[in-house]
Amino acid sequence: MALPKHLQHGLTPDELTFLAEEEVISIVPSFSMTKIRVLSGVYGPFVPPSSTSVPLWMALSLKRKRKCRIVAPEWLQVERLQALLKEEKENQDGFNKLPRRFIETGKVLLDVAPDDLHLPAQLRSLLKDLREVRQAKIRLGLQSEGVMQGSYLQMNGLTPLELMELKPFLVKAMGVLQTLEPRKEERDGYGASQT
Amino acid sequence: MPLINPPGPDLGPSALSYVDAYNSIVSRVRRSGGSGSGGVVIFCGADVDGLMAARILVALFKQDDISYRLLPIGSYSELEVKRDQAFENDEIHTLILLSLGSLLPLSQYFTLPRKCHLHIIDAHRPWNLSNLYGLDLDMDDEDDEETGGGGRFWVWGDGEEASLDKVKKSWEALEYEPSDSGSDTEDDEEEEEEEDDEEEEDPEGDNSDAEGDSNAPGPSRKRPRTNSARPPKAKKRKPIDPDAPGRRLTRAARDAHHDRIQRYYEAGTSWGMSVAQCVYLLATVLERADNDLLWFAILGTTHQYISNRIAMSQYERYHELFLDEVVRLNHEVTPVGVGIGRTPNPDDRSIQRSEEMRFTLFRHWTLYEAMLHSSYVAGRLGIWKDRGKKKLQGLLAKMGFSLQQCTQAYPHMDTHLKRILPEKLEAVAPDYGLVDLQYPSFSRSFGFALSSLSAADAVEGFSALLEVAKGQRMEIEREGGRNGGEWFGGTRAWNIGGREAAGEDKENVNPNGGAGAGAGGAGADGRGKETQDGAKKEQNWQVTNFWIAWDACEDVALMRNSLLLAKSLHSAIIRQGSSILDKSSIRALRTFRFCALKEGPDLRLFSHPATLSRLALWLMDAARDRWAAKADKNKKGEKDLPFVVAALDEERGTWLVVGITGGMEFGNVRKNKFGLAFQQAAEESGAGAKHDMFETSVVEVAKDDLTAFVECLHLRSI
Repeated sequence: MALPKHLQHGLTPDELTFLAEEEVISIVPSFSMTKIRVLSGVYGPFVPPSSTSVPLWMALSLKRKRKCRIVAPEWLQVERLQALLKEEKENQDGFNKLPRRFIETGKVLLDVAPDDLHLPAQLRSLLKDLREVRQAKIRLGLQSEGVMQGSYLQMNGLTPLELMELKPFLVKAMGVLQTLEPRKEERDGYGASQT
Repeated sequence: MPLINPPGPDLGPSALSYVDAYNSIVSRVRRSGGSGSGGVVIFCGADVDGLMAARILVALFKQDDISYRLLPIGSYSELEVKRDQAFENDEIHTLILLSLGSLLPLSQYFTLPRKCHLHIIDAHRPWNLSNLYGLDLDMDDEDDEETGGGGRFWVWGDGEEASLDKVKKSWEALEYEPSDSGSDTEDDEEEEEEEDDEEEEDPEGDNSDAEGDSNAPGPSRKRPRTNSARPPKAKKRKPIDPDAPGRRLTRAARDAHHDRIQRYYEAGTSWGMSVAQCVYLLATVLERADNDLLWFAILGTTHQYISNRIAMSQYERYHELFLDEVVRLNHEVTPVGVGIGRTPNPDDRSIQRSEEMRFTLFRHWTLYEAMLHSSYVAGRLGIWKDRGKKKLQGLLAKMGFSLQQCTQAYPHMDTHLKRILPEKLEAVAPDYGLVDLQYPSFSRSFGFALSSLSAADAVEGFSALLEVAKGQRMEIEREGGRNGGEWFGGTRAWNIGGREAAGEDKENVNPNGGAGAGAGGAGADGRGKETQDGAKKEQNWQVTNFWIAWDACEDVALMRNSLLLAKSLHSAIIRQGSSILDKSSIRALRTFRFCALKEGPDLRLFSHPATLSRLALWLMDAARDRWAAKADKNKKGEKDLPFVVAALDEERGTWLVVGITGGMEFGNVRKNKFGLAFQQAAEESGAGAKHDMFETSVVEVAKDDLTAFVECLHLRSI
């Protein structure tokens, strides 16, 4: 592959953010325009004060030029995040189902449009808490049986960013653990008790 | 030349306002296809007002996807160079002048290529009348319809031009009067105008040739006095009303008009609405105002007030307007007590109203130092003497503030002291003759980085950056050092962290090795360019400083550092000022007071006009009372003499001379007549003098000619 070594393992957070900006979000434009056709599709018409759905990248670009107001997505509210956090803490064995791009979207919205969000400081800290709880679970999971034997890791419900974060380390570690393991498995045969 | 007015409810339907000008810029950009960034060129004067206005304008352009080029300009000679460079580029279709050029006869100074329009927004007054009322008809220009046939020079007025009605009539009368050379054609105005234009050129040309300055090519071209009348021929004079309509003007009428116009110019320089505020008004009408732009506009106006350019009454009027805007844009408005900061909040970028005290930078210094360095307090208490210092300590003691508290850095003072500070001051200060210590202003928070920055402090920071960010060796205090006692603290050299110097950094080489811990390792590269000619170096520092200050608008850390720089600049000014007052080296001549600076540790600093003006202002404020008392004693009635300061610049072998006219009371401003006076004195004394700055009250005189210059100045009555 032509990419440099450190990029070969996966996507960087910037690239992931770029991909995340494809998601649709609703805005309230402050200008009027009919439907427009851009490469990725048809958006509009833009009629204030009613809201329109546009991709996130367009919303951010308009917001930077002060031409719209972003409507916060439903999950980016203080109470909702607090509930999600609570559930995440209670569920010790797995990961809860969260919006797929919540980390990237949250960050980008907090950077570009904090004035459209309610209590952005609290949102920031709640998002960080959520991320850290999940990271703690990942760390615990890395010490599980499956990983130690180099065979599998249960990853249901992780978001792409967390996966990419984990991937370089995990792939290498699994490789090493596998080289340590196979003799034992060959000796005991498959299906033998796992120690 | 369309004279456009600020947007307001009372504009007539045909009157153009800022929005029309802006829309014309936008439409020209869209039409020309945006092929490069050469289309819109902005020349910006290198002062705080220009900087702020440029920031606002650039933000508007960015939001509209207009590409532009921004060039900071420090002096007339630089303007010429840059102007020629700009016109070489074919794509240019809009030229914008911010905070410079109001006195230039624009149509002659800027020979615009086809299709190019020029906008000028400037706070310097008086306007050159041909800019306001002249017509510049360009037959080829297809855009003429949008300006109503007005022409290519857009002058952004601030609404005060309506009061110049009489002057306007005089000017038009002189401009359009039937020519004297024998032809009887009076019907076609255009023809007359053309003839008059031609004849005008000659008197102007004659004027400039007669000046005969040796030092610079520039001055001859920018004599602001438009002699729009031919010299009067001796004829019989009849008293006649100049405004009476008549086909041909008599000598007397022409003289009367001429006098009126001369009086307009000779009244002196003053300041109109700040450029930043003008551009902000545009932004509000376009409904794109937000906190950042509002903050810049506030800084522009506060700068005018702090440097004594506008009077208190005018400032308060602007303050009211700004207050409305602040309330509109910031919903949680809790007025901030003078002493107390707000609890920091990471997303907080809001502006609040606050009462500001007249101590410079007191929130970032110790209270004692701040009071020591403020010109107002200094004057009343006589700080430069020991007796004065004792008085100050007495004042603080009377208010119940222990000296130890007052010499603590302000943020570390007890909160209850900060809370009671304003009331105590109100109560105790009048005994010492200090009244009116507070004025309304605004402060802004920047998240956790800087929990509250007042407008005045920000202005100080920016001015300091514009004056001395690069090119001078400045020492600043280590933070928190002094409180440990004599052995701690100390100073380190000022260094813009992490920035490559433009090569003139021999002066910034850090002598005490690792002292730049806080400023970061900016390789102070000693590669000085040996072949620097003085002029190039001058331009470089002004331009570099402008860009550094530009960055500071966004970069809070740089802003914080600039406050340290401002503090040391202040200390230097005060040191010099106190030594002057101590040595009583201010001589009172008949028509003004004069002081020459020949030596001193900080003399190099005062080769910058802005710093020298500040020194002059400080001296004026500080010594006002003493002079008033002396004048009363002598019964000569010369209380309010203007003040001229000259500083020797050894490197360039010239004296930098600055003249200011102070008001009788603190906070009064009067028009500054030194521009004209300096020119005339330079002429008469034959001194080699250079009027390069946009401020006409600053002039550079060759080293040996100073005494002759001052004598001639002295002999004129101002």
